[in-house]
Amino acid sequence: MRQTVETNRNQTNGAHVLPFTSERVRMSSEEFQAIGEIGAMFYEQGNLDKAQTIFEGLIEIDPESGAAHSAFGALLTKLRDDENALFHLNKAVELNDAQIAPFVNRAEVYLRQQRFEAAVADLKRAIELDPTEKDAGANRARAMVLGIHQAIESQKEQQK
Amino acid sequence: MFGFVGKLVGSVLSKVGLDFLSPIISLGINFLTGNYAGMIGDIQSLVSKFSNFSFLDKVSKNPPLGTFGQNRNNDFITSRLLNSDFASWRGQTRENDLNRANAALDVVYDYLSASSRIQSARVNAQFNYIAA
Repeated sequence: MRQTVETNRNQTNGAHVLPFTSERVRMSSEEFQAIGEIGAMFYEQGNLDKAQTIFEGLIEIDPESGAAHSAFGALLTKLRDDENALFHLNKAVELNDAQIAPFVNRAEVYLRQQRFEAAVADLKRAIELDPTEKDAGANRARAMVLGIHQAIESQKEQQK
Repeated sequence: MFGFVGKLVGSVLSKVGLDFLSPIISLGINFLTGNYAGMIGDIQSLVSKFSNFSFLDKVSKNPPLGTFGQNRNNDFITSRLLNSDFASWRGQTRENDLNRANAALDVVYDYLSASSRIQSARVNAQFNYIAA
């Protein structure tokens, strides 16, 4: 007998396993991921309307998908829709706190809101998740840290 | 005074498409007040652990998507959906009133159809070239 998604989640601590991503729309995790990657392609091309349609649809199919909330949160971060971005990025972190991207993007939103300590905490977490400096998202976090570091050093110089 | 700070900060941030953060970081705060001592310690500790600055050559220019943004092989992505049952999915989205999901499936289906037409055109063009 096929296991339910809920049972699968309980057994895998939030990770998706076969056979279906959602009970409402019966698609495999692989198909769900492939649709998300088409959304990512539109996002990279700057076709944000289509990317948004796809990411919102995936969240409706599986409201407990950390990947879908992460992607939609990223898109909203790009659009500077900070309030809604935070909602989805918080959800992404809640569902899977091993994802780098939502920490990087939430830090960006926090910086815009001048919530510096919260931003640095998220940047730190993103960097810790990528110790080999290979992840482009974590490297974006490193660039932000470097920017803040330069600001601090410059202020110190000017106070001398 | 702030222009100097802004220029330095901007040099890193503009390189990675984050130049809009430059005035926020450089003008928005006096980091040298006691309130930020812990945060400054964290920043210095993080920077000291950077192996070098070569990571700046591999920085996401947009807010990163996460898992969905890892694969860049469109043919591979498309091939995974070629045998998917869109009709069945659409029936399920209608049955469950999942309008956003339905809209997403429309966008994906249109994309796959267009890709398929392009692929066919490529094959036909190659065939015609060989036949000629």
